[in-house]
Amino acid sequence: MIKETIDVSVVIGFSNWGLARLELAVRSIQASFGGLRGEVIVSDYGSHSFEDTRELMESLGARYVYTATDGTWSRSRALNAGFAVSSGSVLVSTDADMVFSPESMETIGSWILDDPSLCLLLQCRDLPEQWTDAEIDRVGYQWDTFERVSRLRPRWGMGGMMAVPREVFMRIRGLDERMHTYGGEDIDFATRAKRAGQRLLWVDDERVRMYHMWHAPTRETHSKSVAATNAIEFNKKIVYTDKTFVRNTPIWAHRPADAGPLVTVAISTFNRANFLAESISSVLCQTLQDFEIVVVDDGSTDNTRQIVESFDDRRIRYFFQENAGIAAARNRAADEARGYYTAVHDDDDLMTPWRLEKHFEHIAAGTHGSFGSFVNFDDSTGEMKLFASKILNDGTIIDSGGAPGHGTWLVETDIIRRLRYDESLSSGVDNNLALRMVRSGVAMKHSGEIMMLRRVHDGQITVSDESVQKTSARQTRQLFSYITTKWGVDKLGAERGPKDYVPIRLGKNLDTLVPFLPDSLVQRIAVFRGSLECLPHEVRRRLLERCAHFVVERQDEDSVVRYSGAIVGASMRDLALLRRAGVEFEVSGELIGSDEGMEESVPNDRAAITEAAVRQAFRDFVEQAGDEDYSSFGLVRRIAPDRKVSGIGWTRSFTCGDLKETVLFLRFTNSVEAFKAQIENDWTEMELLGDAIEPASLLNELNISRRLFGASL
Amino acid sequence: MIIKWNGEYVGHTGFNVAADDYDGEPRFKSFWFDAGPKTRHPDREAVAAFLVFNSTMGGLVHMPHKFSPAVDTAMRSISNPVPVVFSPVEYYPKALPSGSRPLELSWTGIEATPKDDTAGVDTTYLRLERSDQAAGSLRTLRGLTVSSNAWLHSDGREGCVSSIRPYLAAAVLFAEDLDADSIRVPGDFDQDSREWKDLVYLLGTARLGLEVARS
Repeated sequence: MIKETIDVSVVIGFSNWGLARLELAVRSIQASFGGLRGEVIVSDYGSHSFEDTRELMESLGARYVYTATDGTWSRSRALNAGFAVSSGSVLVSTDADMVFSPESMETIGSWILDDPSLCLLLQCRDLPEQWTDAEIDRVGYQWDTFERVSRLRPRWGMGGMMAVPREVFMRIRGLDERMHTYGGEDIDFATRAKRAGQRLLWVDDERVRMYHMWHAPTRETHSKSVAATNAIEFNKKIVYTDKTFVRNTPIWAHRPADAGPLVTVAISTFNRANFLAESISSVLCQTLQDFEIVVVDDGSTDNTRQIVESFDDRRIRYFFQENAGIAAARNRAADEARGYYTAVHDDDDLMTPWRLEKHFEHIAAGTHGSFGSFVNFDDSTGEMKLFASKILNDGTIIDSGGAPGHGTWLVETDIIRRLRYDESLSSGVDNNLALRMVRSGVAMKHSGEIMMLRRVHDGQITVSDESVQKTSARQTRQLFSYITTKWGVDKLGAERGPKDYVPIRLGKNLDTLVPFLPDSLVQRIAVFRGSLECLPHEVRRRLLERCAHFVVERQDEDSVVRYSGAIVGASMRDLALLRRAGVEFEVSGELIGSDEGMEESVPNDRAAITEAAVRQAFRDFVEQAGDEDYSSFGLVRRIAPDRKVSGIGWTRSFTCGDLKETVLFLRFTNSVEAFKAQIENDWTEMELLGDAIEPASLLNELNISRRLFGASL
Repeated sequence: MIIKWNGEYVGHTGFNVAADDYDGEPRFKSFWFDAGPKTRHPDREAVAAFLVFNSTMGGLVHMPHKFSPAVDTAMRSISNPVPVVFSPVEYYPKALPSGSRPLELSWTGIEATPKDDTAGVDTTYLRLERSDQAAGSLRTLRGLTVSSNAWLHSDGREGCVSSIRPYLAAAVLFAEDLDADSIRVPGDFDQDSREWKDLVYLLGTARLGLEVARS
C-alpha cells in the first residue's frame, strides 16, 4: 500500500482544554487546506480525562495523541509529541483557542513548499468578549465580522502559529523540551531556525487570519505560582543565553519515528580488530545516544567483521570494501552516513564519554562544527599527555600549518561529502581536508574539551608513514597560503597570541580520565541506578551477576521500577550496556597495579545498601511531587508487605539479596494532616520532611504516643 | 543584513555579510575570489550580492554602494512575499557599463558548451575553480580562470536555476573587466520558468543578458 503523502501537518498542543473550543479550532484548520493535503494532530499533554476528547477528535478526522505526564504542562513537549507522529512536508504549530480563515493553511503551506528557506510566524487577532467559543459555535464562523471586530494582539511578539519545513524541524531537533509551564517556546524555536539559516517572515496577507476566541485570561493563574514564575524565568534564560540551535541533546524524548540520527560516528578500519571493540564501546558509552556508527572495513583480513557484529546493536552499520586506502574509506563512510553531523573516530582511539554531547554546546549560528583537544596515552602503562589544540582559522594555519586532531572533530556531514577526502593522498588526509575546509569558508569552534584518548602504539600511521604525511601537510599548506602576501602573513601573525589557546576542562587534572582508559589498564567501579528493563533478559541477568550488590525497587510489589547497584571490575562493554539502558551511573577507576584498594570502597552491608536506596527513592518522590502547595512528606516504614495505599503516594518494595522492606512515600499539605493520617492508619513508624511544626509537642498536646523521627534528608 | 566588499589578510577578495534580525544565518558568510575584479559597478555589485545571499535575506539589506532604482525594484519584486528593504538606492542617473561579447561561464566539473551559431563571434570566458582544489588565478587575453568558493554556495541541484546563482554572481562581477554583454551558462534550464525569467529580469537591470548554452 502506498502511503499518502501529506503536505501540511498542523499540531495543536493542549492540556485540560474546553472541547467546544478545540473542535472549532480543528474544524477551521481542516477547512483551510484548500488544494493541499493536510492533517490536524491534537496533542493532549496530560489532561485529567481524555476519552471524550479522543472520541470527538477521531470523529472529526483529526489524529489524537495523548501523553501521560506528572502534571507539569510543557507546550514544547506537547507540540513535539504531536510532530512525532506527523508526516507533513510543512510543520505548523498552533494553539487550541485559535480559528483560521478559510485560505490560511493553503497559503502558509504553499509559501513554504515554494520557498523552503522560510520560517513563517503569524500574529493573532483577538476577538472581543462576546465572541466566545460558545457564541461561535452557535452562529458559525463569521469571517467578515471577525475581520472587522478583531484587533491585533497588543503585545508584539511570537505566538499562535509557526511554520517550518520538516527538514528544518528535524535538523534542529524540534522545540526545546527543557522548557515547561509557560512562555518562550515559540521565540526560542524561531530564533534557532534563524540560526540554522531560515529567514523569518511575519505573515501579513489578507488570506491568512488567525483569530483568538475570547476566554477568561489564564496567565494570571500562572503568575501567582512561585514554581511557575521560576519556570518562566528558566525559559527566559534559555531564550536569551543559549546560543546553540541543535537542542534536546542528549535526549529527545518526543522523537519522530522518521528522524535520522543526529550524528554519524565514522570509523574506518583496517586489521585493527584488537583495538576496534574498545573503540566502538567508547562510542556506545556516550552521554548523547542519538547516533549511528558507520564502520568501513577497508579490506581487513582479521576478525574485524566478527568484532563489529558481536555488539548486536542496530545503530552499528558495517561496510566492507576492498582495500582502497584511508581517504577512500572515509569517503565511503560519508556516503553511507545518515546523520546530520559526522564525528570522525579512529579505530584505535577512545572517545571521552561526553564528547558528542559537548560538541553541540559549541555549535552556534555560522558554525559548521566543533572540535577539541586530545590526550595521548601509553598503551602499556597508561601514562597520559595532553595535546591542546589551537583555535582554527587562517592565522593559526599559516602560523603552524596544523589542524586539530581529526578524532576530535564533529562537522556537518554534507560538508565532508562535498569536499571529500583526497584519495590521491596515502596519509595526512585529515589535515588536508581541514585546511581545504577553512580556506573555503567552513567554520569550526574550539570546545575547550578533551574529546579523545589517543592510543600510542607501534602500528600507528603517524609512525609508519611519517614522511608521506609531512609532504602532504607541506603541500596542503602551500595551497592554502599560495596567494597570501608577506603583508598578509605579517598581519595574521600580529594577531597570534594567547587567544589562540582556550582553557581545556580537566586539562590539569588528567587523572580524572583514568576510568575511560582501556580495560587492560584500569580497574573500574560503576555505581548505577535506573531501569534495566529495555535490556534483553539474558543481558540484564549477566549484568546483575557482575554486581557486588544490587537493590531491586518494585512498585506495588509487582513491576520493577529500577535497579541500583555497583559493578566492581566493570568493563567498557558493561558501561555501554548501562548507557544503552539509560540508567544513571558514576564510574571511578584506578590503574591496575596502583596501591589504591578500590574494592574496599564498595559497601557490603545489605541493610545499609537498602537504606541508601530507600533514601534516594524518597528524594526522588519529594522532587517529583513537591511544589509550594505541599509542604510535608512522609516516609512510612515497617508496613505489611501486602499493604497497598493507592492515590496518595507511592508504595515501594526494596530487595537486596534476602533482605526486603516495603515503604510508603506520602505527601501532605502540612504536618498536622500527616499526623492525622498516621493515627488513622496505625502507621507505627513515619518520618516527616516538611514544615516547621514540632512533632513531639504536637503529639504531647494530642496525648498520643507514637514513635516519630525528625526529617533526615 | 549588512553586505561589505573587502579583502582578507589571507588574500581573498569578495563579499562578507552579517545577518540581521529577520535574516537567516547564511550558511557561508563570505563569497570570494583569489583575484577580484578590477572594476565594480555598484548595480552589478548589488545584483551579485543578491544572487548569492537572497535566500537568507529577511528584512533590511544594506549593500556596499548605492545602486539604481531599477535594480532595487527587481530585487524587491523577486523577493516577494518576503518584504526585503534594500539600501542605499541612488536616485541620480549614472552610466552603466557596456560590453560587446558573450561570456562563456563554466566551473569545476562543468565545461563551457561551445555553440555552433556563435562560431567566429568574439567571446570571452570566466572559469571558476573550486577553492578547495586550486588556488590563484590565470588571466589570458580572452578571459579569466579564478579560484573561488562560489561552488560551496551552490546547492548543487543539477538543472535547477538555484544551483547556478552563485556562479552567475561571479560572472556579473567580472563582466565589465571582460567586456561581456551577456552571460551564457552551460546546462539545460526551463527558460519559461518563473525563476529563469526572474534572473533575466534582474540581470537586465544591470545591463546584462542571459542565455543558455545548449550543446
